[in-house]
Amino acid sequence: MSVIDFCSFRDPSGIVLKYNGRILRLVKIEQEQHLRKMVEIPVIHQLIKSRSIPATDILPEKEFKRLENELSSLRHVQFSDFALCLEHEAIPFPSYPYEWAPEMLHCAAEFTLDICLKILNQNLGLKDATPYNILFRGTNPVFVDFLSFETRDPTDQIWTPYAQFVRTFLLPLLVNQQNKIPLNQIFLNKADGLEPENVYQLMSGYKLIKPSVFTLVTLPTLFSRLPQSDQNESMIYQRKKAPSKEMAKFILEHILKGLQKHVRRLMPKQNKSKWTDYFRKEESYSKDEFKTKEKIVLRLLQQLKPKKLLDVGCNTGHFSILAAQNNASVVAIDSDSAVIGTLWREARKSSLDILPLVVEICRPSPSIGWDNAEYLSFIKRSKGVFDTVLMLAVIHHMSVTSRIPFEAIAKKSSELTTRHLIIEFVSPEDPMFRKIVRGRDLLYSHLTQDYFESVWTRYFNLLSREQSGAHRLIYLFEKKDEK
Amino acid sequence: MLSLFLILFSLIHDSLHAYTDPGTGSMIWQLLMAAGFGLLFYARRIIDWVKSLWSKDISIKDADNKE
Repeated sequence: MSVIDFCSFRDPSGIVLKYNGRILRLVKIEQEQHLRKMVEIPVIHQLIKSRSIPATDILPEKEFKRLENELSSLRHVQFSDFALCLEHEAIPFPSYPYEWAPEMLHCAAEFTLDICLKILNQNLGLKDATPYNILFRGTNPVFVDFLSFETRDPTDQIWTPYAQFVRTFLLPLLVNQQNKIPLNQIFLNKADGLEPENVYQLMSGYKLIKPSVFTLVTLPTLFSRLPQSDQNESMIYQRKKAPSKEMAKFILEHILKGLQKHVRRLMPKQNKSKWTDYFRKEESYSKDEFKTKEKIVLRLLQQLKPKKLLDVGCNTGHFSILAAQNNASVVAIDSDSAVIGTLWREARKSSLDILPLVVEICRPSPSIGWDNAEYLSFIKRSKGVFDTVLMLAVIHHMSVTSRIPFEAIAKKSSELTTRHLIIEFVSPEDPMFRKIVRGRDLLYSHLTQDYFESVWTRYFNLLSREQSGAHRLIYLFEKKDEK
Repeated sequence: MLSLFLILFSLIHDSLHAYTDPGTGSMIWQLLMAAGFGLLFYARRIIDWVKSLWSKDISIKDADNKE
């Protein structure tokens, strides 16, 4: 059965669809010439070579016709509107700004400006500048919106996506830095980021004249309140031409470099939370116990040789790093943005294939956007991706703090992995378990080792079981064939 | 900058108007920046032109002295 997901359809120049795992972009007839020219431009080749944009090919006409036949049942895709189809290299795991640590949004902002400055010399520009144009391959950003590249009028002195860049990159970073508002709260509510007017209401007193706030928030808010006639307003958006190409380039370069300065000022500080020192504090493990746990996990990783691994509740990613060092491509999730930021910094510094994401497994990112299908939920994106799932010292948080029954956790863990599950069981006698139970012992006293094994073996075959702490055990399960 | 802010603030802080596009403020700010950088562009050209005159003047004088 063929699987079709529409990834992008807002741009009138074309649509992107995921068809049987392939990323295909149908390009409208009026854009054909532009697109054919674009793929020949040296700077685009350089960006593909440096993996800043995905490898892209134009499908041969025969294949395009075959695709047209195969997709003829899609009533809302009028194939006669399209002249050609591009096939892009797929990014292993798509993620969205509401799943990023601030460090990742900051990196995406720097990357977008870098691309703008690189293509400016070739008279190219970007139609839009939003974090949704960026995906991460491990910790490396990739610019995926091929149709965003446009030929620029060389005398145009205005960067059209300026306000969008401010709304979707700079103001979320600013509000995160100054008001500690997490990015998921911003982007899950407002796909198009924050308006200066929204941020103005959050700032008061001396904050309004701080350098970044003044030029990104205060001035634009005050300007937007100036009385304007409809004629004035439409004039503001008219293309402004400079007297010469050199002057237009000089102005644009300075505007983009000014934005780079803002981005540098908004570099997130390494945050601390109650979880960032979890491995160091020895609250849950003695040093020896932690070493034993590390040995067990390392041995299992070496034995299983996972290709794609999901680390649920990764904390600062000690075990994600271990997996990546053993050649696994890792997606590491945790609900705490500070630990994800710490892991992202470490993985980027050491060039490890880890994509750390702020995802709370008991309340994962929903499918949102148009028809609840524009940006797929974390669970939908994970389906069939991971051959191994790591759930170390996390199920007691799920079953006690979030009150998810063992049956539901076992079922979900079997849906997340295509093969193996390495899971740590924490018994009700464990000090951390007792701490999070907060005196409600009776409610959770049934979560015993026997009960755990009886539930998980409904979905998995038990391969091994080893003691990792006084009241903790690490299990290796293999998924049973689905009937 | 501060004085510009204070003038603007006193002029328009309390004036609220009917619908204005939320992106308008950022666009006006970009237009003002573009105008500022445009002036800088001309200023640099003028400075470069004066410098080139100056260096030409010196090189002519040097040549005269040598003769």
